[in-house]
Formats: sequence, C-alpha cells, structure tokens
Amino acid sequence: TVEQAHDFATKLQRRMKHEPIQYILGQWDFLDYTVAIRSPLLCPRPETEELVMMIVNDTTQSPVHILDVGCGTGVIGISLADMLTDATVRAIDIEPVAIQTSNENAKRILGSQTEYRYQATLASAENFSPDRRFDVVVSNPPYIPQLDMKTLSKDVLHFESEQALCGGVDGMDVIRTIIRQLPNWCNPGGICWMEVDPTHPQLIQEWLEDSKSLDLGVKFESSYEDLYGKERFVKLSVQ
Amino acid sequence: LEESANKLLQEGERYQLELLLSGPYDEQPCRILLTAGAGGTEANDWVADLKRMYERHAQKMGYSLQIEDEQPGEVVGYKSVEMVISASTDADGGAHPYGWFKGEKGSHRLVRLSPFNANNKRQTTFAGVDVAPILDDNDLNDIDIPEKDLEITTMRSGGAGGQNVNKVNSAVRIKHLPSGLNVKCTQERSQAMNKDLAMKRLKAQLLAIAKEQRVAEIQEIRGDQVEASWGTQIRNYVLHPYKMIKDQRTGWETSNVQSFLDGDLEDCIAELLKASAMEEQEASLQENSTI
Repeated sequence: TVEQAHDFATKLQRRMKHEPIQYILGQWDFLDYTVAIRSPLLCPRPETEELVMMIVNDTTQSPVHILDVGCGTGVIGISLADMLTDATVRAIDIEPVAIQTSNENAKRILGSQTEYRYQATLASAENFSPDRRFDVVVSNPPYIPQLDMKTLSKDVLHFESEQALCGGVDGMDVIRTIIRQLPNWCNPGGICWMEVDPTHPQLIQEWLEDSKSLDLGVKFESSYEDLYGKERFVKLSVQ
Repeated sequence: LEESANKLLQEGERYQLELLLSGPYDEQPCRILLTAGAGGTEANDWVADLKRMYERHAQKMGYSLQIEDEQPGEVVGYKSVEMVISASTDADGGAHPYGWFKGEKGSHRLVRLSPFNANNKRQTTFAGVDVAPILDDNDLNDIDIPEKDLEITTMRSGGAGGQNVNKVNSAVRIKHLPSGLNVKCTQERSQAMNKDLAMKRLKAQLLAIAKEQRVAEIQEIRGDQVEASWGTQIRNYVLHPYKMIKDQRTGWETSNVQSFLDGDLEDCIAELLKASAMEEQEASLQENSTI
C-alpha cells in the first residue's frame, strides 16, 4: 500500500543516517522475548543475553530478591523475573525513559504478575536506599573508558545515550559506586554479577584483594569469558 | 464390495507398517534438506522435482509439510530446499514423520534427456537428501557435548564487542570439531536463541549418526560391507532410454515413473521399512545367540 511504502522509505532514510534499527522499529528480540526499545536507551547486546543465562544457571535460591542497576530497557531484570522461580525484582536508572520502558516491558512479558514481581524506579546508585535487602545485584553499567568513546561507530556514538555507555576515564566510575554500595544493598552472602569492559576484571580483582580494601566487605569470586573469548563478566560476593 | 475389500487390505497393511515404526525418534517431526549435486541447472531442476514429489507424498500420507528455506537456482529450480514434516492434526493422518521419511536420506540419481543441455543430451545428475529428526528438549538432554569440542562463530567475531558495538546480525555457526559437522542458524533476531537452535540441530544430527552407526553394526554382524550412508546412492531414477525407478537397498522397482514423481512412494518406502525391520530382527537374534 502507499502508506506502507511511504513508511518504509522514511525508515530507510533514518537507517541511512545510521540510526539503530532497534530505535527505528521500536522493538527487538532479547533471548526469547520481544521488547520495546526507545532512544536514548542502550540497545541490548548479545553479551548481555549470555550474562542473563549465566545467572539463571548459577542461581538456585528461591525465593530470590534481585536488584538491576541501570536497567535501561529492563531486559536483564525482566528476563530473570521470568526465568527464576519466585524471583522479585527492583530496577533503578537515572533516565526517566528507562523507568517508563522497563515497566512497560515488564507488563508485556510478566503480564499480571508484574504488580508484585517487578518495579522500576528513578534513582541513582549513589542515592538508592532500599527498604529490603537483596540476594542478587546485577548490572550492565556504563563501562566504556573515556578514550575508547571516540572509536565507537556512528550508530552507537550519535544515538545511544553517552550516560549509558561511558564509565569515566577508566570506565569504572559506576562500577566502583556499585561495589561500594553492595554491603548496604545486600544480605550477607549476596552475589553481584556485572558485565564489564575486558580491562576491568583484573582491575576489580586487584582493588578488592588489596589489603586497604578489606573494609569494603566485597570479595572477588570469578570472571567469565563471553562468546568472543573476552573477559566480560565478573561475579562478586558480599561478606 | 471389491473396492471396500481392497481398502480394508490397504488399511491392514498400513497398520502393520505403523508397528514397524517403533524406533526411538520415529514419531518426531523431521527436517529434510534437499541439496543439488553437481550438474548446474539440471541439478537445480531435479531438486525442484524432488521438492514437488515430497510435497505431494506428504499430502497423500496425511503429513503436514512446511517449507523453511529455499535457495533458488540461477536459472530454474533450487540450490537447496529445507522443509519440516510433522504429523497433521488430523486423526487419521500419518503419525511417524521421521520414521516414515528417514529412509529417503541419501543420494538420488536422475538420468534423463536434459532440457537445459544444448543438444538435449542424456545427463546424469544427483541430489542429496538429508533427513534429521527434530527432537524435543527431553530427547536432547540425553546428549552432553563438551565445550572444548565446539567452535562457535558469529557475525560479530573480532573487534571490541560489548557496549562498544551495536550490530544486529545474530547468525550463529557451530562446528563440532570431532565430527566436522557444521550447523548454522539465522532465523532468530536474538543471538542466544540462534545459538540454542543451532545446538539442538547439532545434537539431532549427532543422534542420527549414532543411529547410523547402529545400522553399520548390524551390517557388520551380518557380514555385509559397511557403507557410509550419506553420499551413497539410494535410488536411481532413469527416464531415458527406458523408464525405471529402482531403490538400491531393497531392489524394489517400478516403471511407473510419473506416478512415483507425483508422490506415489508408499510401496517403495513400505518395502524398505519391512526389510530394515527384518535385518534388525536377524541381527538381534544373532547377537543374542552368541551371548
């Protein structure tokens, strides 16, 4: 039809300007789910799918209370809520569009269960003070080191939120904030999973194993490789 | 009266055949891959003929057939066709898709006067038919493949990855190093889902190979020569200078080639099933008698 042809031409124009296809279509798949994806939120990457599956295979606790820090489109927390029995999820982000989109995606996927199983609220990691402690904290925080930002291709650099990508000079700013907050957020024995830049696992391990860091109360458990052989994921535990 | 008597006989036969279809995956749906062999356009056309033959045969036998993928040939026909055959929702439809079609696996040889040959010469072409059961999760849990045996590649291999890149090509290819099997999956928009599907297909293929090894074992017990079955000619379709379709495994033949190509495979397949069942029975007896 004429409308469809016009619509297609418009979308093609946008794509030719390197706009991410997920923004143009308004949705894309993450694992077995189709989720709404809106500018300027980060479009979920395949590595994040791996992160979720790793957590699902590793988590036996039930019921389990989970925090998703920097939830973006909400995919991490929502997938975990759907795949783990008796999981309840809180999600936070500093971007209002993220909160709106996460809650919307939760309703799409969890349906009527959303009410008592998933809640996204506007909050920063520094200021977040939950009334109930968590068993698992998960995050795909902005982790790109400042200098790497200019190597990014147009579809990432010009469209996705810099806030969602850049983690400061070494890329660890938000990661450090999260780690410092873990003892305030978690039950003893709580676990933290994060997706990070390949330079980070070593930095995190060195930091946590330094004698000056003992009072942080966080232990480096392990790092894991992604499908491309890059050290992409870390698992930490709270004493 | 004669008509209804014939029908009863036919149904009686069919019921007996169903009893022969009791292999572990016989009731599962199956994935059939048709591939043109050497021969260019003529081979592509042969694949189109086989596609049509199976579509019509599936319909006759009460199966449901879905085309999953087609790679058209440059002039006519196809380089490859991938289809899935499953039991229909109809009560008296066929109920053993894999069991029934598994015997089609192998190389099908066509001899005819080629309409694509400049001098209309007689040409021999081949098409490969591969049949694999589609297993559900319970069946697949039987197989555990160690990570070190797999080489997984995606379109994003190399480069920074992670948040740095937003490429949506989610195709996944898995190579099983010990066997050399290659599986590729592109149908999903999620890379994790494609990986999942590719793993399932790989496992199904490995299981089918394990089954073939059992066939080889049987032949060895019987003292027959052991032959690899994929790549082996299983059926000859001669259209010129005489008309004859002959199945190499049972010796079953017909000169009614048009009817066969129109989907009339039932007698041929039935013969094969009976022969396989007898072989298995004899081999089991021999095995047991030596214990």
